[in-house]
Amino acid sequence: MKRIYLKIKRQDAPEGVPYWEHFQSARRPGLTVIGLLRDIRLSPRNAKGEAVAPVAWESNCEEGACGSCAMRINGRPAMACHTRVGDTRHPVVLEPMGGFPVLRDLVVDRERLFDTFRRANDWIETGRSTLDELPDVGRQPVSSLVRSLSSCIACGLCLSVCPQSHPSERSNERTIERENGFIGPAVLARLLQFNLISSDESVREKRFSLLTGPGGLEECGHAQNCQSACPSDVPLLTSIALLNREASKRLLR
Amino acid sequence: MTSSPPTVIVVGGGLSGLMASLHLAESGIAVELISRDPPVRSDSSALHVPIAATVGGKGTRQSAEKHFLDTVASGDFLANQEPVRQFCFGAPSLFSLLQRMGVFFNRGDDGCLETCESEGWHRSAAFNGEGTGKRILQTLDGQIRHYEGRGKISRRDGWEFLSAILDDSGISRGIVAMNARSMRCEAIRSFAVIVATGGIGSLFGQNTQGTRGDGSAVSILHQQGAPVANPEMIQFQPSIPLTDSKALSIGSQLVSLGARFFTNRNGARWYFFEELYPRVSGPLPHYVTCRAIDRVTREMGLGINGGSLVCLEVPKRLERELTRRWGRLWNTVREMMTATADHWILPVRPSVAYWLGGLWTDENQMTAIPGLFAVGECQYQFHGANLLEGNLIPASLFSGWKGGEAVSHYLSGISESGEPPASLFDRALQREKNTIVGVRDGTGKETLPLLTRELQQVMSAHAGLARKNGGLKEADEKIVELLQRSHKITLSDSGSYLNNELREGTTLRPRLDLCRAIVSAAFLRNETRGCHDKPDYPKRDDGAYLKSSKVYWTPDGPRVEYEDVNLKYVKP
Repeated sequence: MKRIYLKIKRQDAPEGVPYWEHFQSARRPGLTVIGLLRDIRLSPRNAKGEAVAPVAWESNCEEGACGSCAMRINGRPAMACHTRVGDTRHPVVLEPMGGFPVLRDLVVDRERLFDTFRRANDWIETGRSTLDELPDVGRQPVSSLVRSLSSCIACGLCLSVCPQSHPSERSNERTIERENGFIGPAVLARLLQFNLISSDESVREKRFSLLTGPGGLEECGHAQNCQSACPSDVPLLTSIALLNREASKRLLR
Repeated sequence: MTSSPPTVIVVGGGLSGLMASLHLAESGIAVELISRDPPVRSDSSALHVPIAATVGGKGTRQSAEKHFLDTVASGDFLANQEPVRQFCFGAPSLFSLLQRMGVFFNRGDDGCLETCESEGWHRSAAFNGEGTGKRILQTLDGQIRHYEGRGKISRRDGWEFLSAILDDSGISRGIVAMNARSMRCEAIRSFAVIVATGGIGSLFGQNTQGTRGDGSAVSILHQQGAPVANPEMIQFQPSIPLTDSKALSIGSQLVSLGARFFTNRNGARWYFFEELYPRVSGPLPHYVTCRAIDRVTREMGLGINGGSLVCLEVPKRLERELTRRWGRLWNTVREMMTATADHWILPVRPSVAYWLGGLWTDENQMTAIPGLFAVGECQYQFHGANLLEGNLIPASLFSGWKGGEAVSHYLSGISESGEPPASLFDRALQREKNTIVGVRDGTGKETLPLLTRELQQVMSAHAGLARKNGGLKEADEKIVELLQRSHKITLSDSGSYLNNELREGTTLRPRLDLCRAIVSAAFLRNETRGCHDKPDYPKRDDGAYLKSSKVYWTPDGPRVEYEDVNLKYVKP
């Protein structure tokens, strides 16, 4: 019976020191990385046979919709639920994804992503959500661009590989200079999505000032890591190009 | 976090919880939204079902009427009809509201809604690619951020509900919750609480919903005096197993596109479903399909390799349509397929997909605990004994909206009876802290993951399809044994930060209690109705059982009573 060997980068708490721990587990057909973590958790022992605390990770839907299980697998950004152990290099190396403060083991704090969505006004103001409105009949179909932009699952993988988005990794600081840090690819895409579907000029201007302000579009270094990391094929590079064009047009007005 | 006590606490950040929070915030009421995970990570994100869309100017009222009749009939007449009627007549406006918020649905070039056939619903069902639930969830999540920015909603992601705080009159005054990172508990005051904690799929192991939904919050409230109703009504769907814990509930949608179920018999493919139901076209209710699969595998022993799987034969000519409709999800499914010249073959088995029962509520979504409301999947209204899949999303949303409205009325009606004494909150907090210490410091040879697994196995074996009273009795005895063994657990994790094992450990006994409620209600309902399948009692028995099961928690085990169904508009 073949065994799977793993190396996991662990950390006990936000202020803890990272350390590696080795595990081994039975190979089973169709096993995903989440399944592997769950198998180990049944009786958590490291490769030396010592009893250890179970590895902490986040997962829920196991089909790529909830965005929970983003991490680094063999050095690459990946969704653990989609990664079949049989298809990966061995030993399997698991690390928390970069660019976010580590909370414990493979769990990171992604609150900054949601904070930045808020700064991008990722909603349409509708006033009262009354149910007395007469239903509308027939609307325009949305463009495939809007459709693709809306498939973002807020996993954070794009930010994790963006060289401009990383907070200082030397310190475990969680008070990153959020106000001036690069807002990142996911937020740019979301900003474009909402500017395309909303017609409220004042809110569109607000979104635009986030784009052209500190931490905005000019911070993008065009590394293009984000696109290959995105598990949902959100058109990140296209968004950045379109937003660049729009920003230039306004500059020349 | 708000500095003054929130007016309303909402527990659960899925579709129904977000809708309730939104409605309250728009009405100017302060909300504290407590959720295990950020809302976009909730089970609602993985919903692939279309929405029953009774839209259109002409004939809207008529089609809402038909929607109502279809829903009541589909629920095998177990649903209270007044809430169903309100839901069906509110659904078109709800659909419109979603679009005003920016949710879009597939439309043709002419702007008309693209519709698909949906299980049990032969009319229009609108959808948004494969991610209808995800899109709506994302939109509502953004709406919540709008109100966060205006100081109306405060979110606590990563908090676990531990218990409701009830005053001496049994009225809800707040909750105790635990920050699942710092493991610190807090008593949070409020004037009302809305529980929106979703389903119970993970009680059975492999399910189509996710690994987080376990009904533990419902069970805790059950123990605190809120009965659960129809807990035995659990819908299974023909699903494609992806992993030990996850199956994809798209079997029926594939069938409506032309896929066929089969298994092997005497060396040849046996299209058993067509033989059992020769005159059917279009998707059948999930419980019919699942029952057929169960009979073929369990009774006839004709599952693949003698197990519980059958196959779905998907014609390759559907590739373009499936890629267009499902995108990345289809890629995931492809990994599970084997190919022949003209077809793909997918493994299929029935898997838990939805909880039709839940906390008992009155027609205004209030539980038996005054000031404590329940919305969405965790409460029992709307679906009766079977869910029309096109109703899943709109009913959750409507329920949340309605719960928000009901809470507004409740708040305007409560008397200025003054603040409860601080000791009430201190005592509640101390009780939960003691429970946590008990879980943390437990000793014995049992471990949490293995006990969980035994519970999942017994529920799958006896409380799923084809329920037998002998098996249900055995299941109850096993659960009682697990309850005793749950006092002898040693945790593997002694960490004091983000200790998931400790957090899960607090949910074990509630999970076991809820399973007892499910099993007891299933045991006593000697008929077959909707999703409740008892081969020894194959007929629906309206004389004895046209009633909701209402289960009360007692220290000696669940006590089941029955309550008449509101049959205001149409009789069976």
